[in-house]
Amino acid sequence: MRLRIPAIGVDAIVEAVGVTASGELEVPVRQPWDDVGWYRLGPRPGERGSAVIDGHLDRPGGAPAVFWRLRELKPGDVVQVLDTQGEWWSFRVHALAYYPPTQAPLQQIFADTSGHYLNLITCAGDWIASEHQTQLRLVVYTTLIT
Amino acid sequence: MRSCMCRRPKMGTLLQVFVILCLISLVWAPGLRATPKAAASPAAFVRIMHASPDIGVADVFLDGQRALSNFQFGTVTDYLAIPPGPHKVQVALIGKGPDAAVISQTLSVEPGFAYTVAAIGVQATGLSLVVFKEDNSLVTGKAKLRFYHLSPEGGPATLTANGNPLIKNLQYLQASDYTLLAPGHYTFDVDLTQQHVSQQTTLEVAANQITSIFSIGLALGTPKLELVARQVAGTPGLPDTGSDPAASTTPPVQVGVPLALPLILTLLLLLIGGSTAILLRSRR
Repeated sequence: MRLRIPAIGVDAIVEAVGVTASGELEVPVRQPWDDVGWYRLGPRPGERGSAVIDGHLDRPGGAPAVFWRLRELKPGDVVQVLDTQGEWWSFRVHALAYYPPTQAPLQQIFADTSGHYLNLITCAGDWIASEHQTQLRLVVYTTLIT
Repeated sequence: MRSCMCRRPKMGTLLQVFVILCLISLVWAPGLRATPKAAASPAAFVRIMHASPDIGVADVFLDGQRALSNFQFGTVTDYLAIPPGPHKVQVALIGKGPDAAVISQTLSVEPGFAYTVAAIGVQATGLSLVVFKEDNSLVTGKAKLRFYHLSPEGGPATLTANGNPLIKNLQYLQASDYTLLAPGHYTFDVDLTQQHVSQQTTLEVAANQITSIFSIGLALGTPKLELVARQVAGTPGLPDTGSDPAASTTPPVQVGVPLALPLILTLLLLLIGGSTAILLRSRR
């Protein structure tokens, strides 16, 4: 699978990811900073429900990673996914939202079955050294273009 | 001649370029991330259960609009996304319209949360809606189970799994806490001990899923006691996709660009300055 977001120059390999031992969505492991991860326990992009893809914001030391420019997306921008059958699926951005990681609407992000969605996730906000994580998560909500 | 004079680099110009490059590199540098915008208000998620023995096949209206039709006893819907806030929910016999509702209640739901709303009760003691707030977050490698006692006139209920008590003496209209199980095949029994009535169902409960078991129906009478099970995928927590900006464990080529730029320029200027000083000193 591949993910393309022309508006911010993303063209990345999609790895299948699951959950960590502590219950969080895993991140890509083969090329952690350049690949993105599709949540394999949820729907595939294009299927009914909420498909989810995550990617790193930055690398250790702070250099940009694959989703560094995710925050630049605007409603109306196009996101494309090439599936394993060679078919392209196109989605349109309809909202961006920032959440503290423990206060995110997980049902909406992972389990909204009212349509065909693809939600993109990365980190945002300041780095909190004591927690070894950023203050926020960015979720870009997109809807399948029919 | 004049143009030649103008193109000669001056120390002031070099400093200006240096300052501009430093500013660019600082904006590019880690830690100065974009100021977050306000979060969009998420939806609330509601599933509806028909658990009232005295309501036949029904229509359900949400804020006056028909949301469900041909809604039968024992049915649980999928989670429906609705705007957060108060909503008028009405349950009426099929085809009768909202003005003939047998239940009419206003329920308030919070953004981002999931709820189970059950139509419950019997005519003798009243029909109503009860609301349960859900936690569908998964526990890695475990099956998560919640038991709902919606069987009227039966006293407290006990749920056993493969003969072992799992939830004891749950009162009518209560939902249990979530219980964790090893994934696998289970026979679940509900016992209404005051009535000496029990019912069972067998289920495969899977890892990372949320299983709901509803006890509905009458201990003595029809519709009789039964167990209804629904399973949904659990939701994971959000990933950690950020990195320590102070770390230096990645290859220098990747990590160096934004951080090293001011340093390189400073060293370059020092080198130029030093060379010039040495040159001037050597000419004296």
